[in-house]
Amino acid sequence: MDTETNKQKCQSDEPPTRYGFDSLPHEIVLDIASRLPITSLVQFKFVRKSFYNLSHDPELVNLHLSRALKNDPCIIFQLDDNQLYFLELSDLGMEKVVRKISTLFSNFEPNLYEVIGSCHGLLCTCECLISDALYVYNPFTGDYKQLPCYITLYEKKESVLGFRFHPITKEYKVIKIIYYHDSRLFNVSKGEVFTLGGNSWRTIEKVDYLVDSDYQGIMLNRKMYWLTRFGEYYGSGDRLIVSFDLADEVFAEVPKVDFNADPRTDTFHLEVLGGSLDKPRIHEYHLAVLGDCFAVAIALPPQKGGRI
Amino acid sequence: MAEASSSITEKFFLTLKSSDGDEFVLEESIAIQSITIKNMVEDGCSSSVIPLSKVDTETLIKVIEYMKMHSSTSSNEEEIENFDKKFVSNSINTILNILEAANFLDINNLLELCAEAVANRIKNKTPEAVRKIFNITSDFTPEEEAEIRNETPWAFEGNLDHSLD
Repeated sequence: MDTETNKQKCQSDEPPTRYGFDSLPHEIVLDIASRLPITSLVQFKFVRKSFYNLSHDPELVNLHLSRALKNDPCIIFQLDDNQLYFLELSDLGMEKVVRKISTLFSNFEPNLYEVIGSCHGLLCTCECLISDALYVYNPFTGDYKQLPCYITLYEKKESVLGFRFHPITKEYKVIKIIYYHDSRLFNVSKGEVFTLGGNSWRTIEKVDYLVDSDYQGIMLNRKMYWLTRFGEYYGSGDRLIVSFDLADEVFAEVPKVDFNADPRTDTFHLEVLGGSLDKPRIHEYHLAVLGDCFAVAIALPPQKGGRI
Repeated sequence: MAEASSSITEKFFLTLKSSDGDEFVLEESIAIQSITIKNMVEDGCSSSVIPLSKVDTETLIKVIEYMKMHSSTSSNEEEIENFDKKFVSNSINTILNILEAANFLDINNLLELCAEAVANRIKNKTPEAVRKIFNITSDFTPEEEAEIRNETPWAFEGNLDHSLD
């Protein structure tokens, strides 16, 4: 098919003056970097300063996130030494898969902060013993934002925190429900939302439910779900699953299906299942249909052991 | 000649000129995989020679090879797959040049292919190995480098690949 070529002079007169990355436009370097697994991306940013700076580019963060969520999810966990570690699912089976993330918190005293939630590439952490300061933090770029806080340790009794990303509005929101103590019971006094990019907390409509602060909420179909504390609901002692719509910022109750487990003594766990339900090795579970997905509240048997 | 053996449907040809001054005649239907060229054709620039001042001859030959293989009629999927596999085994400098050309010519598939190929050569390599492969000099001061190594030691361990490709 060379006949279509008029003339082909293939000899090159001199070696190419352009070499490598220097001649590539910024967006192409960004595109290449976004294709790297997070491990390689961290290594890549140490190659030279311009790559190091690139790793803070919000464009790269977004692009990398969209590819990573699809191809190579990453798990971050916190160990007792107060350090964050990560592993990439694609590395499973290889010799060394767990790697340390150097964080701005690394030099803190142990247990001074905890990760209260993670979503869509960011962590929300709480410096809970000192000041209740909340941070939203990108563990791989080291970029973070401290959220304003004005509730002192003394007046607060207990709080439930949630941190989620709304896929449509593309907003990260931190949800905070604070219970104040009156002489006998926990009372819900305040619910607040902070939208990342904003400057202040907004008060949300009255929260009618006592969400159990022992368990992290889950995100499903743009709503956040929590288990309530054991309490009196519809005439009997029970727990409910309640939802919080991230867009409308309204709480609602998930229609109740009866537990066979004891809602007072058993330990529960909210979990999103991807469609198939393996037979759980637990003695009871509670399925709630939420939109087109399932959520399961898994009831773990009491410590002394139960029936299967 | 191509025109003689072609079907009855009328074919249009474009002349592409590389930065080295070499001219290549290419069927318009193949060339317009490049959005840049397509826009030029639509703007009525196709009657004369299309100068591609940012693409040298060696790179343009590769790009034309790619466009011919990927033009819909002549090649089947397996052929294309094999071609792509072989194509990305070009030297890293060639790939980088093609990548830049694909960006300029706005050929998305080729851009994707080359960007992925470059990423594959960076994957799982220490910063030193990446510097070697791409002939990059570190501009971190020794103190900064020491601090980075201290903070993230695992990034500097493992596969130190000295090969250039």
